[in-house]
Amino acid sequence: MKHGKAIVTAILRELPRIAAIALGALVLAIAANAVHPMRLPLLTTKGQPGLPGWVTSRFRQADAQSALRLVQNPRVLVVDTRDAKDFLNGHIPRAISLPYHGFNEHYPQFAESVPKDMPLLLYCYGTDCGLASRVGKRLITYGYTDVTILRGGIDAWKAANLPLVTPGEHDDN
Amino acid sequence: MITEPGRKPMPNLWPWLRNSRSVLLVLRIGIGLVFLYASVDKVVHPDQFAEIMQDYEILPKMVVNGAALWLAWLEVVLGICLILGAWLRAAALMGTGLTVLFLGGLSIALTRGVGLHCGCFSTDPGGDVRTWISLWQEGLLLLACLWLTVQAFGGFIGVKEAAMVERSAVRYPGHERHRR
Repeated sequence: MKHGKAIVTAILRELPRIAAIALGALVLAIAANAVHPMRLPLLTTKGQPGLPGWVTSRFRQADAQSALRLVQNPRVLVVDTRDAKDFLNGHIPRAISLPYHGFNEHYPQFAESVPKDMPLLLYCYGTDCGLASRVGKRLITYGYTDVTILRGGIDAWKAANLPLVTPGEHDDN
Repeated sequence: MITEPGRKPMPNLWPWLRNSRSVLLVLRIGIGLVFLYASVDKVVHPDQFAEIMQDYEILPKMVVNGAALWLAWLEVVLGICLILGAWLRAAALMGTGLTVLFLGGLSIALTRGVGLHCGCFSTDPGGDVRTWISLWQEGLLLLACLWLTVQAFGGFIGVKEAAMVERSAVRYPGHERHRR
């Protein structure tokens, strides 16, 4: 019992130093964030965590009907950011796969064939899915200028009864 | 101890290990380097670390950015404290707490069936997805942190005795040498 009390006392005596370390790290974090090119808002009030404000402001948003017009425009490249197996199970017509998990691996090939000024329509799974905005952030950082995110992802597309390319079906475009 | 005739008995390393300053030095510098190494990618790519933290689905979305920034720099400060041996007890305690936090977070995510990338040493989303077996790395770090904490609080001689030695050293500077 006495031994336990001695341990607790010894730990309690370290609390001011623990608080100082925690506070020091917080001050350094805030200072470094203020000068970092990918400066993050400390509190995420809208959108997904990990998105700097200047990136979020460059995204355009499209609902399913507006996205349909973009899909029908041959100048627009449709990008599926979900995992490759989900892309193969069904995707929006004319979409190519650029999965978030594996972005670094697939990006060099994407960059070779897609010009920086090409309009891009990105989508992922659903409303809470942040993969499209994560991939969009990387593309904007690498110099792509026209990035639109499908609000609600492929779930919103399906809910609007819009066409899908399913396995075995040929994507004519 | 029973030994074969003509063979020297195995030396008992435990008394040396439990209070050795060399072990303490190797542990604190080793763990300090691990924390510093782990922090590099998080400090360089805080946005990507925030994404990985969001994938753990433990913290409210609102505080994820702040927590990611703070954790990355906490690792830096802890690493420096451990390498320099400054505020060793506090740093060792916090290192243990941080490792428990990482291990707990990974375990909760794995229990929920969330396939995620640890974010422990790299923020690349294409890294290997963690499994229960791959937790041995954090387990090993936790053991090392626990050992360091126990030793920093007076080794295995007992916290009370260590506290007594420290108190006497504070009240009567230099007297601890004579007491021994």
